[in-house]
Order: sequence, then C-alpha cells, then structure tokens
Amino acid sequence: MNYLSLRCPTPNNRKAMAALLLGSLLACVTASATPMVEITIKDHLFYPAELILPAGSKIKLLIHNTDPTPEEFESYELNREKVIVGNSSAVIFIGPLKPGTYPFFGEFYPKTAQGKILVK
Amino acid sequence: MLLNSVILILQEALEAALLIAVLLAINNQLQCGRRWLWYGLSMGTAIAFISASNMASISKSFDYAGQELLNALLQSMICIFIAMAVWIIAGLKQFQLTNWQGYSQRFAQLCSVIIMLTVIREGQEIILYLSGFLGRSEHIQTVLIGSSIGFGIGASIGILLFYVLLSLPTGLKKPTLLVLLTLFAGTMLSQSAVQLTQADWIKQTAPLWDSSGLLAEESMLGELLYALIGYEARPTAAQVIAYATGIGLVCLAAFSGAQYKKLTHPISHLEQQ
Repeated sequence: MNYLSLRCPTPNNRKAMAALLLGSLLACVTASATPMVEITIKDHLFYPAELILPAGSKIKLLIHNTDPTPEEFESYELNREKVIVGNSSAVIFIGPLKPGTYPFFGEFYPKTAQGKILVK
Repeated sequence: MLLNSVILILQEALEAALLIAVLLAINNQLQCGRRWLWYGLSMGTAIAFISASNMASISKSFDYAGQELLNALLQSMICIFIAMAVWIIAGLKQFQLTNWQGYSQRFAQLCSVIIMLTVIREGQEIILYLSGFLGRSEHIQTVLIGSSIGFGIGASIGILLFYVLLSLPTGLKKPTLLVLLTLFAGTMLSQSAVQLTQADWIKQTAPLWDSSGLLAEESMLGELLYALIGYEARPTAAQVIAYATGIGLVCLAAFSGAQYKKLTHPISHLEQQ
C-alpha cells in the first residue's frame, strides 16, 4: 500500500508536492530578487565611496578587491566584518536597515578606505 | 600606518590573550602544567597559515559564504569545547584535581583545542593583514613595529588579567573563572550568529537596542569589553539568543558535571563539602 502511494501520489500527496514546488520556487524568486550593489576597492579606496540604498530591504553587497593586497570591510554600524583577499570578490548581506547613515571602512587601510551607506 | 597596525593586532590578540589568561589561571589551580598551551598555540598558528593562504578559495565556496561558515564553525566549536571543559571541572572543591582518573589530562587537552581554535580564528586575519605588506619595503618595517607593539599590549593585558585572577581571594577565584569562561562561550556563539547573518543564513532583524551612545564598541573600553564579555552596542535578537544559548549550554554542563561527580564519587576528596 505504501509502495503504491509512493508511486501514484494521492491528492494529498500531490497537494504537498505542489506546495513544496511552489515553496522552492518562491524561495528561488526571493533569493534572486535580493538587490545587489557592487563596490570596488582600488588603491585602498572604495568606489563608490557613498551609496544610497532604500530603507527596509535586504541588499547583497558584492565587493571586488582589485588591489593585490587583502582588505577588511568593516562597519560597526552595520555590524559587519569580512576579509577580502587581493584580486578577489566577496559577498556581504546587509539590511533591512532603518533610514540613516552607516559608515564603513577598510580595516587594513583605514586612512584612505572610507565610505558610507545612506539609507533613505 | 604604525598606529593602525598597533590597533589592529591589539584587537585580534586581545581576545586570545584574555581567554589564555583565564585558562592558564584554571590550569594553575589544577596543576596541569603548561604544555597544552604550547601545543594549542603552535597547532593553531600552523592551521591559521594554511587557512589564510587558502582564504580566496574558502571565501568563494558555499556561494561566497565560506569565510563566514568557517568562522561560525570555529566559534561554535570553541563554545562546545568550553562546555566540555567546564563539565570536567564542575563540582571540584577549589579546583583540586591531581590528575584524578585522567580528568586533569583531558581538561588540558580540551584547553589545547580551545586555544588552537581561537588562534586559527584570530591568527588568519593577522597573517592576511601582514601578508599584504610583504615585499613592500616602504611599509613593512613600520607595520612590523606596530604589530609587535599591538601584540605586546595584548599579551600584557592578558598577563595582567592572569595575575589579577590568581590574586583573587580563594572563595572568589573559582566563581570568577567559571563566570568568565561561561561568558566567553556565550560571546563565541553570539559571534557565530553574526557571521551566519552576514552570510544570509540567519535572517537579519533590527537591533534589539543601541547602546553606542553610552559605550561605543570602537572605544577602548568597548573593545576590551567586546573581547572579555562579548559587548555589542547593536545586537540583534539572533545574537542575544545565541549568547544566552552559549551560557545555558555551559551552565548545563556545569550542573551535570557536578551531579555526575556527586553520584559516582560521593566520598572522594573532590566532594564539595
């Protein structure tokens, strides 16, 4: 009986499978819908050094370190910290954030590597 | 450049130095020797070198969440190993443990692993930082001097804590050491929650409070409290829950460790009263 029910989905099973499929589709859609913003590190500077982002939404930051040296993206306000090896890229998720200013800096070269995110 | 390397290395070294101070103070009471410390430090440094030199591929793995997952794993393991170490020493009167049934040895081994994991975590960042200056003669000297000063200050604060802990009155010593170790376990689990949030494995929520006006995390006291008890000015619910879970885990280990000793060795010299 069990064997049969596995092979021929009962209406209940079919509903569950449809829900599962819908769920995973939704998950894919929401995952890919996370807006992505790119930041480049060059000569120990952030480009752009100022970003304007919408309040209340999750953002995927894709940071490209084009310098040969490692850098560490850090922000006390965002509670984020991540080492980005030279000539490589890293992803950091931030938000949803309230409106305000969120400074960030490169911990390895903080004199030059400074930036901020303005959330509006 | 000089001041920056002092601060950066100090931040990284401080946490390890404080944990080592607490573990050394406990081991001093237990008379476990200090060989475990050298094992932990050398193994940790060696693995930190390996992971730092592979950081590019570690970061790329798991859809760019590799670095966070590695850190979260190391931090959660530190929390679990602290709980195991506390299980061993729980219920001992004033930490008297003269290699009783191999417990002392096992405790020292656990301390070794805890130090190793801590050094991997902090060490890989120091190695990556310093590697950026290799072959750049104009900065390397300044950076090395700054790093040595930072490392020296971190180690000095650790040594200071060690002697302060040793000089505590007998009745206060054990609870203080256990409380510090427990808070450290909470800190580790809370930090792993931050890592998982950064990698989007845990949903980001608004901070529960913001005490940065009272005590900024980047201030000197803020940094010291961050290293010692895991102070965060803007913690999220996930962090607070993880912190409480880490503390709960160690308390549970302490309780069950003490019960175990009471049940299995009711009249031994390890008895509480």
